[in-house]
Amino acid sequence: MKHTVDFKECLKDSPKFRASLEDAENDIEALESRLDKLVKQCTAMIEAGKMFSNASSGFVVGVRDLANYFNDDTLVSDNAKVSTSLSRFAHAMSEMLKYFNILMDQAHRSICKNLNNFIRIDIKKVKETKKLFEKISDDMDAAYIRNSQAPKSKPQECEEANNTLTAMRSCFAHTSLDYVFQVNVLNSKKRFDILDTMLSFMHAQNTFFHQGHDLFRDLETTYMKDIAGQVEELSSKAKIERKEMEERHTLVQQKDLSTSSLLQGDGNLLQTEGYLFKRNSNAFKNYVRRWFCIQDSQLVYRKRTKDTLTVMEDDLRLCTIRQPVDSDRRFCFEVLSPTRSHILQADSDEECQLWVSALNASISHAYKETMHSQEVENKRSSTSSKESSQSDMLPAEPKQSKAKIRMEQLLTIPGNSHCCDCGANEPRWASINLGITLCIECSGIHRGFGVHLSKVRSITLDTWEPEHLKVMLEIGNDVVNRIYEAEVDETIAARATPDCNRTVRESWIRAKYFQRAFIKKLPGVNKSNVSRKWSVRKKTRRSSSQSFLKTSRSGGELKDSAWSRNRVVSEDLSSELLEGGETGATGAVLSVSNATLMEKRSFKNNAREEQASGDVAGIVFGDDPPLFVAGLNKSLDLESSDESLHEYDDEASINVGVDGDDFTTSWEDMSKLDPNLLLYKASAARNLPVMLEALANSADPNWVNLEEDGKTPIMKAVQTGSLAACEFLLLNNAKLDRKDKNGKTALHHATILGHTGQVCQFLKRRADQNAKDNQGQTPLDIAVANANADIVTLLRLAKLNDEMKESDGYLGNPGDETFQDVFRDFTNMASNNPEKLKRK
Amino acid sequence: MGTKDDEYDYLFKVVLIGDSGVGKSNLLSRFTRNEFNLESKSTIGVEFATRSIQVDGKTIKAQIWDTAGQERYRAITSAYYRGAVGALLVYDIAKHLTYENVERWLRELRDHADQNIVIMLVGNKSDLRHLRAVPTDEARNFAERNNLSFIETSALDSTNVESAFHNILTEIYKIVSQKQIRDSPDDDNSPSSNVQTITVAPTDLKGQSKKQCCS
Repeated sequence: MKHTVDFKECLKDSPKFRASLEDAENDIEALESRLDKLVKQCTAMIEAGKMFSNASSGFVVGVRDLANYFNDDTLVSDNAKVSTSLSRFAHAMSEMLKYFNILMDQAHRSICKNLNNFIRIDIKKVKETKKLFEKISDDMDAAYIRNSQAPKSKPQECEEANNTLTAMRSCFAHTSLDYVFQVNVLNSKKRFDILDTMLSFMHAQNTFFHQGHDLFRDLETTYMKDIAGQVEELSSKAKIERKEMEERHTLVQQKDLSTSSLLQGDGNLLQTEGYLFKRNSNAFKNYVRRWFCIQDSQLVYRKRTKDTLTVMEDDLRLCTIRQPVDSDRRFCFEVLSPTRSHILQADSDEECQLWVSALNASISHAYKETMHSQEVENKRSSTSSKESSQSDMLPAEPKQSKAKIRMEQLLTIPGNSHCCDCGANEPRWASINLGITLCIECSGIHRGFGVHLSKVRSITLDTWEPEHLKVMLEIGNDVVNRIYEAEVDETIAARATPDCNRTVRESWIRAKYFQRAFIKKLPGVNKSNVSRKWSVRKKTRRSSSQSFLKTSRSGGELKDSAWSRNRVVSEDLSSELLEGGETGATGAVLSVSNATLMEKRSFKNNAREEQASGDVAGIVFGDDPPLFVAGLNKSLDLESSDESLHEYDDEASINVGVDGDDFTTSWEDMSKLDPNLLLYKASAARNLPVMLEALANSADPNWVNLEEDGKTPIMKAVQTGSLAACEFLLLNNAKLDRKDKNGKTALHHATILGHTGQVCQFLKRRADQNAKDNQGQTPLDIAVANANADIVTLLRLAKLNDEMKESDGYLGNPGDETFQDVFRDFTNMASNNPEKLKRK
Repeated sequence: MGTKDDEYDYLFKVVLIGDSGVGKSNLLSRFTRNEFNLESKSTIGVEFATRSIQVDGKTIKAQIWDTAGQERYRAITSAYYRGAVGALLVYDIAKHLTYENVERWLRELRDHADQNIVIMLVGNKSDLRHLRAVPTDEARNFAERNNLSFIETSALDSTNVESAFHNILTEIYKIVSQKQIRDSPDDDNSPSSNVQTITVAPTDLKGQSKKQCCS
């Protein structure tokens, strides 16, 4: 009750009253400033609380995220996962946060609001009263003064002043009483009001901790104790594991790791892997350490860090392992393949021995695999077994799968699934100049006739030039047999069968190919057909995704569209059909057709009998109804089936001018139908089956057409841009050194036309690049004049390579290697991505 | 010069690369035939020339591949970098852009050439003093940072052309011959020691070239 102002004194308005009043006022001031400060502090606390709450909820999110990370980790018991514990903890924490937020809210409401009210309402009211009191006090003072100044002489004035004073006095008394009342009320109110405020906040705190306590009591009893137990168990397990791992270090000391790390695969030599030093093949001959492994009959290696495997030798069957001749390092061995040699170095003699025996083991294993799978294959029936045994023998590795793709491509060409000569299943050999597949026995006979007659390759074991594959894909056993077995006369030789003896086989093959006993001669000139003409159907390549079945409706309509396809290859919806049709049309069957005029009749095997009827105006060679082979109902991926459409466009643009007809070569009189001109025309049409037919009729591959600048068939083939047509002629003894009337060789022509792929092809076959034409220009002169960088590079490289060879065979000169690399580059581009060679 | 002498102890393939018009072909003709042609045409594709020099009493035959600088005259294959043991990366000291493109050529080498290839940065056309756009120090610092040897040459007045080829061939010879000698004794850590030998050698040469070009 310290500052309470006495009412008695108040009425007296004594100095004591005034002093106590001032005291009370100061007291209220002090209270107000403190309260103000408190409110501010409380607001700050709430702000901080909010920040804390935000940060905490961020933390909870983090814990939840961590829980996701631990999704798979289990604790001791399977149902207790690290992730669930973590999310439970996060849940508890977020509950706590909720309580905390409530607490802050209460602090705001109880403290800030109440105190603010106290300041704004109660204290303000006192202050307002104070103002009024002061004003009245002043008025009263004025009344006193006036009263005192009232002159005696003017009683009325005295009276008036007196009255005013009395009124003022009473007013002042009331006001001051009221003021004192207010002050006193505030004084008493502050005590309970503020305490009450704080009390309610304390209650809120109490609730907060109470709730928290409850929450954690539950959590602890139900969960935390359990988890703590598991954690302890886990950490003790981890300790044991760590100890075990530490003990491995002592293992290292006990025995040298070098060899134990080398042989994984439980002593299985076929899966040996480990580090070896590899000698680089460059001039530095430095050694680099690489991780080597033997897998699927391949020797592959990789760097420690980079992820890609490099295949060092893709078919170990072709390799031998031996002691290196020229290495002064220890523990070396040499892997020798037909084309390359690799020096490898192990870390110790023991390891070196291990590697050598492992490599030898996998070589012999690879051989056994092949034999085995071939046996299995022979027993099973065609397509399905082919694939499965293929995958046994040739796992999905770069080169091996290449051989597999090659095999698949080759065997799906009509007739190729059986030996061309005896009909045995699953032929694994090929004669690349005839374009046929053969069984091993027949391939032996072919070999016996010499490479000028038949060039034999293994489909699975040999490395193939992409061009050879193209040739093969253009022909096929059906086509060949329609030519070479057109009129079989078994009195000349008995037909070979899969099981026949060698003599039968040999005489059959000799009669078939080398005596050409069964072919049909070209139609001779007779009076009825002098007025008629002949032509060769221009070939387009086999498409890369053929859908044979779609084209199974043969007949005129289809052929009509086939006629129109050449120019609209990509736009025409029917082009896909037609591609298939083209595929079928590989037979060199002579047929007669002419879009509208001619009868849409095709003549299986021979058109000549029909010619006599005279209702046809001409013969188109190599144009025949699609031919369908049972079982070819799957869509094939002929990876490198042929030159791209670009090339075709190129060809078309060349030929349109020359021949005036988009789809066939120019029409020739029947009187001129002789094998040589047929080969010439077929070359210009890049039609390999017709070329083969012409050759079968003894066409000279180097025949000179005096009517057209003295060109040879290969020069015509160059114009088409077709690698396959050129390769086919070269395989059949066409010469590259022939010159036309202008002194130009095929290489000149390819250079002039900018056919990089063919320049590469001819240089690989040792075309003479120093040959000068009648203007004295070499191909290089022409290429430089045309600024054709690729052809210039090829020509100069070939020249360099020749020079290097001349100047005494220094082994491993860089020119030679680069020559091979660059030519391989270009060959692959020409065969697989010819569009890359089209520049400008 | 450059005639066929079939007797040689080493054959090194060296490529000349750099922007179009920096003088690669003239450097080559100056070195191999002592010829210079002010009006030489753009190289198309690739050209070769050889010349043999003596180092340490050994005959070293340099087979130098001069490549086209102009993009449209460059062959599509990058295979011609294979087997190269040295590269002269040429720029024109009077054309700053050709110097800026050195980075691009380095990247090309890194992508396609052997990682141990010895590279020499060559600032050609040093006779064009009044037109100089690339300060010698800047180029030398760049070369140092990238572990390249450095020299400035003039194919026109023959300055330093011999030295440039001699230096790079000697450097290659050192590495190759050292390797042959060192092969057997310390074979445990050959990869790392290889790297060192390459980086040490250029500092030698830099001393020489400094004397020669800043006289």
